[in-house]
Amino acid sequence: MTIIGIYVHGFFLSLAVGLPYVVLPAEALGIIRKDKQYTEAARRISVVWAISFGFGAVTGTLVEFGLVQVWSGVTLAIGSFFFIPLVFELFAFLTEVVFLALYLYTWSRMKNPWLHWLLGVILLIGSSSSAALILTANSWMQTPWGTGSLVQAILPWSPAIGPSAVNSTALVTIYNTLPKTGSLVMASPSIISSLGYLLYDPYVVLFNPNAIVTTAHTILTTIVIAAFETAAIFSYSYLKGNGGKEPFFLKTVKFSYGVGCLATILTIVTGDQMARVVENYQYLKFLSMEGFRGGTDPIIGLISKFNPNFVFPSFGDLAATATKSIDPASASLTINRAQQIMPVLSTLYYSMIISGVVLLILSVAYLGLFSRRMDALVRTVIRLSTERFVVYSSFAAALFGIVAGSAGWAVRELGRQPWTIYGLVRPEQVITPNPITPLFSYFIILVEAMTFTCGVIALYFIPTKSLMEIAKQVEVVRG
Amino acid sequence: MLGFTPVSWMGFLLLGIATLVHITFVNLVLGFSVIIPFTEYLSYRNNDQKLMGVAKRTFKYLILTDLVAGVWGTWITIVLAGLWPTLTYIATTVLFVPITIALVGILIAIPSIAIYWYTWDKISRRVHLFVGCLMAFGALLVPTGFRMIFAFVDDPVGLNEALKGNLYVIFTNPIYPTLVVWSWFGSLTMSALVAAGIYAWMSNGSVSGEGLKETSYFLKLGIPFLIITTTTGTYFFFLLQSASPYIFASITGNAAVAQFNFLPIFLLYPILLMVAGVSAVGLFMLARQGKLSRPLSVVLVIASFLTVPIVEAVNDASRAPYMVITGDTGIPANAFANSMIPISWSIAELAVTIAVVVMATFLLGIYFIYRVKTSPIAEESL
Repeated sequence: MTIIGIYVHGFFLSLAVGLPYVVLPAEALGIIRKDKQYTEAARRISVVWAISFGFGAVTGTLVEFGLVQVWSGVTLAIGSFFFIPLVFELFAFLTEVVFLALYLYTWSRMKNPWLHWLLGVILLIGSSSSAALILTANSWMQTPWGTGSLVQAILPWSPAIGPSAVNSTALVTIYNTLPKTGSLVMASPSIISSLGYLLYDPYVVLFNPNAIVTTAHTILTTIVIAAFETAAIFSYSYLKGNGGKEPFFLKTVKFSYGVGCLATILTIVTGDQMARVVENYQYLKFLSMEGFRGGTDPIIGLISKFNPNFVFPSFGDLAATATKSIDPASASLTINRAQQIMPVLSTLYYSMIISGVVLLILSVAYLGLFSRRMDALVRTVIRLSTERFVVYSSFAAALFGIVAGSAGWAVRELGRQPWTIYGLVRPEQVITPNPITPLFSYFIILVEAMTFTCGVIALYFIPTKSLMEIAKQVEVVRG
Repeated sequence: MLGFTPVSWMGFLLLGIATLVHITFVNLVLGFSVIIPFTEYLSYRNNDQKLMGVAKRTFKYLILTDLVAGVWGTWITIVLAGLWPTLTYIATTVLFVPITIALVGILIAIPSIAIYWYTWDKISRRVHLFVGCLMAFGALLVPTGFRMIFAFVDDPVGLNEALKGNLYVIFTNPIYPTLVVWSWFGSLTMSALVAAGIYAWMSNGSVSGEGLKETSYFLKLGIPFLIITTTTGTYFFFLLQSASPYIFASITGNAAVAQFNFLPIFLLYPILLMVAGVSAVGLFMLARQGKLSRPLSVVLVIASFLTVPIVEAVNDASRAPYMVITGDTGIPANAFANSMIPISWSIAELAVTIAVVVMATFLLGIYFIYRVKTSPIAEESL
């Protein structure tokens, strides 16, 4: 239920966060070149943006309630470590809502079109900041920055996770209490207040290196998904034929595809940085996702350490250190779980890598639009002009973009098993004590599926017909 | 500051501000979500195309108010979880069933609002009306669930049993049924009377009959709703005397029990109800003669619009300094306030100031959007 909810939310959110990076350059090009087709493209894609935001908000409500109601023990983290990111996120969200509405309703109404574009830029800052702050909260669950050597005490192979900005005594008390009481410990205000401050520096969470690379990588991934999906939608309209509008559709395809290609290259660079953070702070996840049991591997050694002969610690080496843990059972469980999920995790990880490589190849081929040599190469290999290739391959690009994004997120979330907050809190310790019946789960999943279906239908139909065409159709129906 | 810590002071104010704006606008969403499909039904039944026009025009208000309500609803959740974590935990655990009911309501209402709008005149009338009924049903479910939170903090019936797993015992709360009915009719009254007042204002004293039909129609709905709201509100007031004596003492100025006196603010509520009633009846009588009065419409809109925030503010603030009332005393707000991070007075004051400025900017932004949206060029460009 939670997984489906997050993925449905993520689908719409990836568009809501990524599309501004397609819309605003298109609008700017339209203004600079006085090209109405770019302006029209920006305007239509901004409708997709608005729909995605709307469905993102609906599904976000579901995720939000899911968090505080089903995973009710997480309020402990919301009240401490997530407090600053979430409070800042409220302001970012507010900026996003107001400026999205202003941006949509002021199309063609500003004497200076750059002012309208500026509204869009503020909106982009709002939506990207909102995403960054939510990802900061999520990143803290991956690497609980500011807990110092606390995780190291439980998982001895882990490095210190940032400076120590926490009340270690209180956190250890909670760590020892949660397995006995579950999240019910939160029902006692006196127990919680008796612990004193959990966190001395609430801002420490914002400086988590995991959050910084995750934000960059995830926002770039949303641009990849949004740009290639836009290209695919307009390619479909182009191939279907639409009463002389083909040149417009083709131009939009080429433009959005280009944005996707640029974002793909940057995503690969940040992806590398992300893998390094994982290797440093979540070494077991690194082994599982690489499908590697430690020792030497020339490729991994070369990429990771610039040394093909580097010897990586194995599961056995880590198991030997588990005895030094203040909770050896949890340390062993973490090692065992990493080995259990290795086949799934490495499959997902390499699905992401392969998708990224395919997108990189498509990005190189896209250069054929600007280079005769590359165009000749594309024609030789595929027997299509680069232009036709871009149109046809946009569907594959959209698909691979989604696969890469979904698989990458799955690796991130599954990889921290058996922990909710890595090294500190486990899922069974924060779930509500109330029974979650199958009927309740099925109902929520049904609603999620319906919302997803409605959203996808709206995403296709509304932008590919101009709003005036829809209005005319309404008039015809009215008769 | 009045026995508050910086966190509880900030939490009380931020929660209060967000709740006030949210509840005011969500009442309009709820009322319009019920009134609009009902209006569509009447239009089909009486083959009245003009009434259909009324429904469509009024729907725009629903969308705009839903935007405001939704944003501040998110604020409430974050403020609750961030500043009142233990209270949030207890509420989501003990009130799991009613919060789920509200969540189901939201999940039904939001997509059905979108589907209802985009399928208007594009699908069969019956199916469209069915979507409208779903929208109304979803909207009514939201207060049905969330009002339990208010009933619970006024009178925490079944807390211990619920913590042991009996999640339905809370529904025996004596305040709850009346509070739900009062909320339903309160929102219907507010929406109908505010809409009547706005249409009367927009008629600009026109003698061509423009705005007359809309005003008369909404007054015909709003006046009976106002009578029901006043009756249930009065009953709720006396119910508090036995179920939540501390709140009753606060709002009646009984200094022997309550630490604060909210009687002067509370008295505004019946006065506003009376003003709304008199102006509504006056406007209705004028409308029957084919006339409308702009001053009267302004009075009606202001009085109807203010009743909800005034009564909510009184009901919520009258719990101070407690967060949960237990008879003629309560559990202090400080006990539930976030004690896990250091927050100084300067940070608390800064946060509240920023929130007020942001809220004002937000509402101004919404007003600007409303102006742009209702201008003729915007209609063309959309």
